[in-house]
Amino acid sequence: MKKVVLGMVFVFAMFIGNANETAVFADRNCVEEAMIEGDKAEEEGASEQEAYDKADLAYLRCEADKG
Amino acid sequence: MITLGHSVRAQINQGIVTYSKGIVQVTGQEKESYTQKYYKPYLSHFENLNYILKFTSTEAVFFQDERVFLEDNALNRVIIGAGNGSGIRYVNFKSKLKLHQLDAFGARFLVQSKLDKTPWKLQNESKLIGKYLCYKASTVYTVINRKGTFYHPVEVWYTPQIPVPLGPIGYGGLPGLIVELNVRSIKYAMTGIDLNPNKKIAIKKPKRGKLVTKAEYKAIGREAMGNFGN
Repeated sequence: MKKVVLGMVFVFAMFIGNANETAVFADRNCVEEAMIEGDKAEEEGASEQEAYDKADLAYLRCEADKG
Repeated sequence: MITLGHSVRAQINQGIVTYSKGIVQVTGQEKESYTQKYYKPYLSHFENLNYILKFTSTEAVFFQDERVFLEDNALNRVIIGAGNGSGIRYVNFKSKLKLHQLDAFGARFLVQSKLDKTPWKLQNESKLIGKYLCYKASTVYTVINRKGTFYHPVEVWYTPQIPVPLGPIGYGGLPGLIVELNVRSIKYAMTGIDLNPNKKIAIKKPKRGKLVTKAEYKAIGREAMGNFGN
């Protein structure tokens, strides 16, 4: 019985964990993340083209993570 | 004969030079630069990335060797773009015009500019790279973006043993071929040279893309960055 309860607690914990993870991904603002990456590149002296490409990559990666 | 508007005169009429591109590794107590940190997860992507410089007495072209297949995806655009390595750079020594064909901001451009002289600071420092005795020279690459004006040092090693005043990513005008070029932690290094190719080298002038001036291209870039995500 104890094993069953512990097992249920584990499954519930996994569910909550996954739900939180999903929520984190769903809450991500990919445009904002992309702009942060682009800004960072420009602050380091990148050209607009380099910054744009890095922002684009950050955006696509973020969207892919969100699924 | 290549004159390039500089004092160097070479009797080499044509040639093909290949360059690799990589990240300058941090040594000793040096702090990792933004570029070094950014590209760290992608070092393997640079391994097969090669560039070709072809020249004749009247024209030169510098481009990424497409024989190494790289998918046109966002990551590869970033990797190829590192160290200003995007697109095809063409120069005509007679008309003193430069063209840079590149894909940027979701479109293809042909950026036209005049062949100007790079203000090099020649230094006495020398080192042997392969069998070539090379000398150091430096200049500054200026970037003006939305965050300010940045002056990036460009350090090159050129060899008077190959009296060709050319090099990677459009740099040249030195009393010898640029064998190595470092800019923003990106290093171009010569991997091969053929000054006596069997066939006569034919250089194709890039023709694709919207013809713009440097200033127009700059304005397009600024607008694209401002509109990102809109």
